[in-house]
Amino acid sequence: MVSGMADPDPDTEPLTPERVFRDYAPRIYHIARRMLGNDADAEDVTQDVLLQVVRKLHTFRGDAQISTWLHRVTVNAALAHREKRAIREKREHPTADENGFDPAPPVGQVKRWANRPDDPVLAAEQHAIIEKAIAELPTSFRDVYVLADVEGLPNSEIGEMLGLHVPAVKSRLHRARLKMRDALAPHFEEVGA
Amino acid sequence: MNCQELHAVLYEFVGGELAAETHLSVEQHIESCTHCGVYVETYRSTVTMTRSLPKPGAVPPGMEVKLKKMLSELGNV
Repeated sequence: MVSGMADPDPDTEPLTPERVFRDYAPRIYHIARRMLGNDADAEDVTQDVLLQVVRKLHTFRGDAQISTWLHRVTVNAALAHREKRAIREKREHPTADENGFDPAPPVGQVKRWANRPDDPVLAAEQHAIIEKAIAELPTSFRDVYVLADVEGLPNSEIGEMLGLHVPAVKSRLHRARLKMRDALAPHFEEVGA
Repeated sequence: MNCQELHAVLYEFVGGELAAETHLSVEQHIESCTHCGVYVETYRSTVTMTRSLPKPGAVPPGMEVKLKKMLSELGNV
């Protein structure tokens, strides 16, 4: 059973390549998967990052240090991978969405959302809807949203990773949330509200 | 405070980053404007629902096979 970046007790289990693969591969994979939007690219990034970790294993003093470093390396690897893909596919032009989105106050009727389901099947459906909405965000918004609202990293750390000032991180995060809200609304609005 | 002003400080309001006086103005506006009240509630729900996504359990089975192969190759270097 793999455990994401659960930070096992470093005193009881030494850092070996086997343990790094077991404990950290899922988290690396899922961050890359959400940032890049497809399995194949996420696999490439995961393998690349794991190799980097194993090569530097002797320099780490414990899991906390690896965990912080891993976020940074995973984000860098995902961004580099996306860049290469964009060049390959000649899709370097940004979308109108990324540059022209104006977070103006909403017009029209805003409906309440229904309560979240306790049923695991319905909850899984809900998670799938959220994952799809994340995947459809413009990339510059998606990066910040994944790191802030999925991974729970502080804005200052995200800014360092993406080369942005904190106000720019906040602005993108707010815009991403507005887009996410609009994407989720049709699925979660109360029927007949 | 009007609807447009509220929208300009929505991120800070939800994050608890506003000065007490402005925070109070937003709350007062929400109480009197159902439209903004529901909007703020659904914005908040977006954040909380995303934060409650399940933590990563495992890599996909195909990926696990590749990683095991990679690990064994590393051991042979």
